[in-house]
Amino acid sequence: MKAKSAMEKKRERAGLLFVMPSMIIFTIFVFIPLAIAFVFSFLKFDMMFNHIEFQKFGNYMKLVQDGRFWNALLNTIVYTVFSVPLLIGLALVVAVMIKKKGWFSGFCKSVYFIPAICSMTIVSILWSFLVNPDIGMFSYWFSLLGFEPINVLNSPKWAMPTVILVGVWKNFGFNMVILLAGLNGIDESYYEAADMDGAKGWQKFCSITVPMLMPTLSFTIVNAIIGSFQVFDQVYIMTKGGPLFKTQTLVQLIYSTAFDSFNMGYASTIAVALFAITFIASTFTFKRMTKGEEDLG
Amino acid sequence: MKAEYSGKNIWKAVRAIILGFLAFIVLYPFIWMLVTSFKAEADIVSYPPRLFSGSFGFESYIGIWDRIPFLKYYKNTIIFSTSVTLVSLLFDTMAGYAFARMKFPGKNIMFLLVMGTMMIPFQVIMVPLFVEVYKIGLINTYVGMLLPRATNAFGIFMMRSFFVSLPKGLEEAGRIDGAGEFRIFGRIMVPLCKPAIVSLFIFHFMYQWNDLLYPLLLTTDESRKTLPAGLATFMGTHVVEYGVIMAGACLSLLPILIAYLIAQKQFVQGIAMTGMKG
Amino acid sequence: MKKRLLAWLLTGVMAVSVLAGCGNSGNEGAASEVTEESSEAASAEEESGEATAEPEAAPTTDGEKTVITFWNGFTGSDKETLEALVQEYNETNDKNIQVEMNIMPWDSLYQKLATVLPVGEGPDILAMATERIGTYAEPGAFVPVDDIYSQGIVDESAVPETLKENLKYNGQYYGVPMNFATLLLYYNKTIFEEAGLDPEKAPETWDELEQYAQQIVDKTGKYGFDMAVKDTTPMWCIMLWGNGGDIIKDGKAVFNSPENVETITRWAENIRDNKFGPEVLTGGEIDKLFESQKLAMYFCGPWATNGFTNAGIDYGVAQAPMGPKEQVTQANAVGMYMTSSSKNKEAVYDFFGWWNSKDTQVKWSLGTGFPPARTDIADDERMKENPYIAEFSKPANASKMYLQQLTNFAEVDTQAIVPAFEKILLENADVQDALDEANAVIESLIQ
Repeated sequence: MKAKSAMEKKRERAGLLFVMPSMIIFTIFVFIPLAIAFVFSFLKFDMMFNHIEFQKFGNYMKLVQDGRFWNALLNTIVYTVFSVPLLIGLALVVAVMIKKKGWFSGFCKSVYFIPAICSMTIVSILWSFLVNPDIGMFSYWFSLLGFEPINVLNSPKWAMPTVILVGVWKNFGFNMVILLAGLNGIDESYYEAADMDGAKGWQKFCSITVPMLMPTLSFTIVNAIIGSFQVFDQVYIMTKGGPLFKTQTLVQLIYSTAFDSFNMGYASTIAVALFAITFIASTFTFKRMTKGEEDLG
Repeated sequence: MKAEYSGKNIWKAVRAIILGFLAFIVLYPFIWMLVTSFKAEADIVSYPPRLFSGSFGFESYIGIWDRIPFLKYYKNTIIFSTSVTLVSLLFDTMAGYAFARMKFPGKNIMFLLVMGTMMIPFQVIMVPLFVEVYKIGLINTYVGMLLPRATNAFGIFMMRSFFVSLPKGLEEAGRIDGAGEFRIFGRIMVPLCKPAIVSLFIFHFMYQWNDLLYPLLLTTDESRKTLPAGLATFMGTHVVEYGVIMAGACLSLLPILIAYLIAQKQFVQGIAMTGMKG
Repeated sequence: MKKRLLAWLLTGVMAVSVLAGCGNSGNEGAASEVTEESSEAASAEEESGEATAEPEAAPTTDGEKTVITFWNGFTGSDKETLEALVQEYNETNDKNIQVEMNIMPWDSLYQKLATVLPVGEGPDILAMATERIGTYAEPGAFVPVDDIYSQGIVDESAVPETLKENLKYNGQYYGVPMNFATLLLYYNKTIFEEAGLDPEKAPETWDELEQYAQQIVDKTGKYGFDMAVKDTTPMWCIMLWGNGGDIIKDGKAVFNSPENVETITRWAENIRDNKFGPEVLTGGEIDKLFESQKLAMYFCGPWATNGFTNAGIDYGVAQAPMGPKEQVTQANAVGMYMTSSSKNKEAVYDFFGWWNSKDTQVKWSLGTGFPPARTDIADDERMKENPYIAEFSKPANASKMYLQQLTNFAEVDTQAIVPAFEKILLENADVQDALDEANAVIESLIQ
């Protein structure tokens, strides 16, 4: 090890100064509240923060035996497993389709992004109305096609797929724009070389597009996983977790434990579990994907 | 050769149909929203549903104007969204730059911590956060609303990706001229990242603009209410007036839609430049 | 450079002050616990020894306004009437009291309360449904208001009998009435005619209700009669009570009683198998179904009259059909409560008293369509403006309220009762099994 020069030390100090504001804000407004929530997860107390009881691992024991927790975890996983591939797959396919310049591509690009700038609250209200079997336009069209109109949001079978599709509808434009940016960054010469070799469209897609896009893809996927573990708004507005708890997700369980039952301690316990699960899932995915990247590099 | 040619045409047609269909699915709810906002309540729930039926008028918009202090809520939302966005842009850019191009102790662990904040649902920290802001005495102030949102992991990540993609050795030129680190950042780096900043501006702005819970939570005062909170009061407990809700939705969507359409080109370009790499 | 340094310093100082503040908050938490206990003792004392001397001296000094805050969830069309009334109070009250109101959706309100009440930053006055009193009174977030009745500021004898008991918790009054509503049977006269029924004659018994609904389904292809299950004002309980059943009685869960099994089997078959209507609707959905003239009959409260009249629907309202055991309907009420954050007891009481005066109640009633929360003004001349109000006032003393006096109303409703109906209606579950299961859940929740 060689000693650091004065110059290097000065630069290190500058680096710290640059991240300082963000780190201070995160510390005060995220990490400290999070630490408090972590402490909460071992306690039991009432709405007014009185009658504080230390539970040791009581809350965690309760969690392991709580059927509602496992149900919410299962639903969250189902949501993630179906929505992430659908979301990213659709975004990728569409991005490839509109990569070529032209007025139609430009139009589609603008249009697909609109749901992303709209609030999830509005989106959920809109879709609840449109799929309503008695007054909704979309379900009316389905009935014209000869399908029996069903109340999808009230059906134990269809509620989750509907919630997933609404999530995909809202978010695919956002992911598409990011993937499109990644696509435009791929050097044309790769494709030209492949054309010389007589490669087909899908061959080019598999052997050039996907590997070259890996860094961007891994970002969108990890981002989508994190987002889907926190899914709340559309479930809360469209189904309230029903029917029969078939769409109750972890964040919604935390919400109802905290604000319907005012059991802040146990709500924090579920939150700690959710954080651990999200952390493991996203780090695992990220590691897997970046490992692939190195292999290719 | 001919087969290939017609194959290409089929592919083109398929592509147009798929993209067109998607555009329809995406646009239709918004068209419905816009049309509904001009309808009378009784016409909205008629069956079979029709997009254009009954009479049209501005009743819903007039209703909004009469029933909530609309301009005040608009003003509050603009102040909140703009100030949070601007401050956050500054801090995100600085942190993103340092994480991308500078060496300092604890860099990796700090970056991991920053990324970790993305995994925390707001509902989890909301109660401790409120108590904290209250103890500092910043409840009901713009500063109190601004500070907890003054930086953002997504923003830092995006700016980091952007700075990573800039050519190596950019700083060296500045250092040779004897400029300090802050000067290099301000004079060389920031001017280069204009498109990325525009993109991030839109991301941040639309996020703050649409947020209902956070601003509502950190204020207890009616006079600080933002637009989403104001519009939410039209969702009656028993009686839901879709016309008014849709009119409110249109009004709240309009500013960000315009902002997006104006900045669209720079926006996409900005994302392209960051590459959003992990 | 110096400027920058200053900026960094400021940020640093702020961080430190925050950390200090946090340490503080721990201490204060403990302190507030102590004061809480002592104030509990004080309130107990007050109760035993006649509520007399107010601890807070009259806060009004000449020329200075006493500002009290009032949070509630009266969104939608009720908001205007409420705002106009509060404005009237602010302009006319002689004690220089200013009521500042903050209206937000109920959900947002409950979330905000979780953050503001523990630190004592809550509003002076809260309004919410009476079934939630226990949730807030138990931990001491609401303050008992027995003395408002004993001093005659609010006339106890005018409060509807059904409501009176449910403004209390553990024997003490915690609130005063804000509004009071009963459910009646709404029926669509146009559909009645289409089905060959007399549009002026609503069904009076369960048998007639069944017969009419079947006739409507058969002749018009529309829905005959339905009851919403979730996110709604409770409707199924009208049927349970009509057949002598209940959900919780004397602190015990009786949801799986033979009467209930019989009632639910009968009406679930009607709705699910005889296609009287869609299964498991929300309150909003069933309203829209009636408004779009696809549903002929359902139970609803007075709030819907204005909307249906404006939508041009030819409808009538009638008392709930007589059950095998009893004619009864569901009543629900919103109360106003003083929170432990309030330091303006006198001003709060003045507003409570004004709100429950005859004059205010008449205006509120006419503005919203709710029957008055007083039993002594139904004959007031002005009330004739709205013919429905008299009909909704009739069952005031012959109605029951749903799941009152619990500390966890929301859990009992969403975790036991709603799922039971969903299982029966959506999944054809055995009624006895579903009710047994739900009963066990209720039992574990109310222990």
